[in-house]
Amino acid sequence: MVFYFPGFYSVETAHKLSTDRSTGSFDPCDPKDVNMNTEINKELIFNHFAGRATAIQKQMIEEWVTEPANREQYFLWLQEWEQHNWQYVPDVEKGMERHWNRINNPEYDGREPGIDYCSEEGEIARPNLFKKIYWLVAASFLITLWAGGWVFRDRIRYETFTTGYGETRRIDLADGSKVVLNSNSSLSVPRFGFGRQTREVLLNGEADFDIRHTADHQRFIVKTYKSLEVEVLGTEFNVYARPRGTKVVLNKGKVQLHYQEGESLRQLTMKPGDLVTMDSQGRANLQKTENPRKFSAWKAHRFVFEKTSLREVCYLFEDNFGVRVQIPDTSLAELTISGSFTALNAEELLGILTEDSGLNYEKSEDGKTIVLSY
Amino acid sequence: MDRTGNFNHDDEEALFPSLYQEDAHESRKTGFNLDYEIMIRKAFETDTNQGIELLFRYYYRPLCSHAVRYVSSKEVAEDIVSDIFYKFHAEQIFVQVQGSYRAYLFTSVRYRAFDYVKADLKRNASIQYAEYVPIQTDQQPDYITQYEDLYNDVENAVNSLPPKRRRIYVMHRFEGKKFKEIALELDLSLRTVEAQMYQALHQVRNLLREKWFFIFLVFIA
Repeated sequence: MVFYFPGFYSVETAHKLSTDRSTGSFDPCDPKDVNMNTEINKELIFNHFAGRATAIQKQMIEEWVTEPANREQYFLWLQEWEQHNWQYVPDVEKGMERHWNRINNPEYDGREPGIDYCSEEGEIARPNLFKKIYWLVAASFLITLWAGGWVFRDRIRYETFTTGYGETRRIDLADGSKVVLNSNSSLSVPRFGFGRQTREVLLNGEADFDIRHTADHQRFIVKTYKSLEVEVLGTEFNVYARPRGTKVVLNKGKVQLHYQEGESLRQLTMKPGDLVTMDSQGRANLQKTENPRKFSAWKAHRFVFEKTSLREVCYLFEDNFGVRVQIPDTSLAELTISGSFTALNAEELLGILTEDSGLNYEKSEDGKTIVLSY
Repeated sequence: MDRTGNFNHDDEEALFPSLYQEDAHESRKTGFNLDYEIMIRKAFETDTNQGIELLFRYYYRPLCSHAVRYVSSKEVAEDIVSDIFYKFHAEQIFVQVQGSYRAYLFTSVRYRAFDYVKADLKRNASIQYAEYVPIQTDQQPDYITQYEDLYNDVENAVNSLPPKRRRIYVMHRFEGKKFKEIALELDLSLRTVEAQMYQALHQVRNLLREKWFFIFLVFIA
């Protein structure tokens, strides 16, 4: 194959390209091909990072890197090279903790007092002189750290995932378990020690859990803001914990509930298909459900109703979309609906519901309240 | 923006899985072809704290590892990186950055590390150099490759130390060991370790100074 190259391609490059196995369709107008033409590649850059580039190569790199896209590539390779040649292994968690302490308390910068080895004359030759000051600095440093840590202990200890109205979110936990968070909910996961001895998360709202069974049969505990805990080994279940009530539905496996009824602590073991609801007094009510999956249908933005009263549908709107639905007519509120609907937002769901039933709805000016009538 | 770099799939595979296994959540591992920069930017749009967290997960370690090449202890390297993350967050740099966060962060680390070495050489300059000071800060080299030259010179200077001295220096620099711990581990007196460390820093500095002090001076002119 013979290539004709305009003058600005060096002969050497031309040769290289023509022997390249992928040169079937070299197009000098294609920016990608021209890019290859510079002869700057990862190997050369890596050699340069390692201090093995010649003066002429450095010169070439200098010219190459003035192009913004190349500069980006340069730093991408620098990162990659660093990750292949660790100088030491920095502790990300520690760095992050320090960062949050600094952000929450700008006067604290996390520097170890007295460690400034570039002035080691002072440090090495006259250690006793500064000893007392070091202690004072160290003490105040610890007090500041402790105070900052106390005030922001939750922020430091937990990573919190939250969802807004009409939003669902998938979360993959470090142990391989999967959680889907429903709208207007939050899940807090400890930053430190999760999966080491226990696996505990805190849920406010509704979420669907698919828990990975660990080799050492480690327990997974879902805590709620109510006095209810769900303890499992590896299974699939849905937890609903909102101010209105608490509900646990089990798809697979076995879970144990710990809850408080009055003064006493109680336990209850659930089997697949069980639905447990807790009333406001904390009493548990166990029911069987034919179709436990329908309780997790929200994961696919699907709403499943089985003889569900419109009153309950209103609650759903409030929980998930932050929209208050009012039904002035009490007989209408008792009406039940059945079926499965897919909707991404309140408007859509409302549209589907009213369309088939011949109901009307009216929206308030701020869009937060909806009145449903015949 | 990273797409411009012809960042092919293999590169990405090579880059991330082995390195982030302990840190990254599974979702970040499985979603290949996912552009991490874009993902981090997205996170910043919705939740600054989450953006910062991702930024830490992806860049903190390579940045510290890069910074320590220039300086004499990992504490100093981590101080430098911490300052940059702090500024990035507190001054909301993330809304203004042109180009990738990666380029910004690495460039900043290099600036600071460069300034640190400069200040260090100046502070410890002997009389014969003293007449040339002051050195201005925030003057950076004209050539990007000079950063690599600088840390490679540091590396070479460290390699030229006598073995025992080098060992003490490395234990202190990368393993963050206190002089007392080093003394205990190598069965030396504390005084010996201190003296060796002092000699090591002195020697590294002198070797650097031979070349770099005058390069630094050029920046003033």
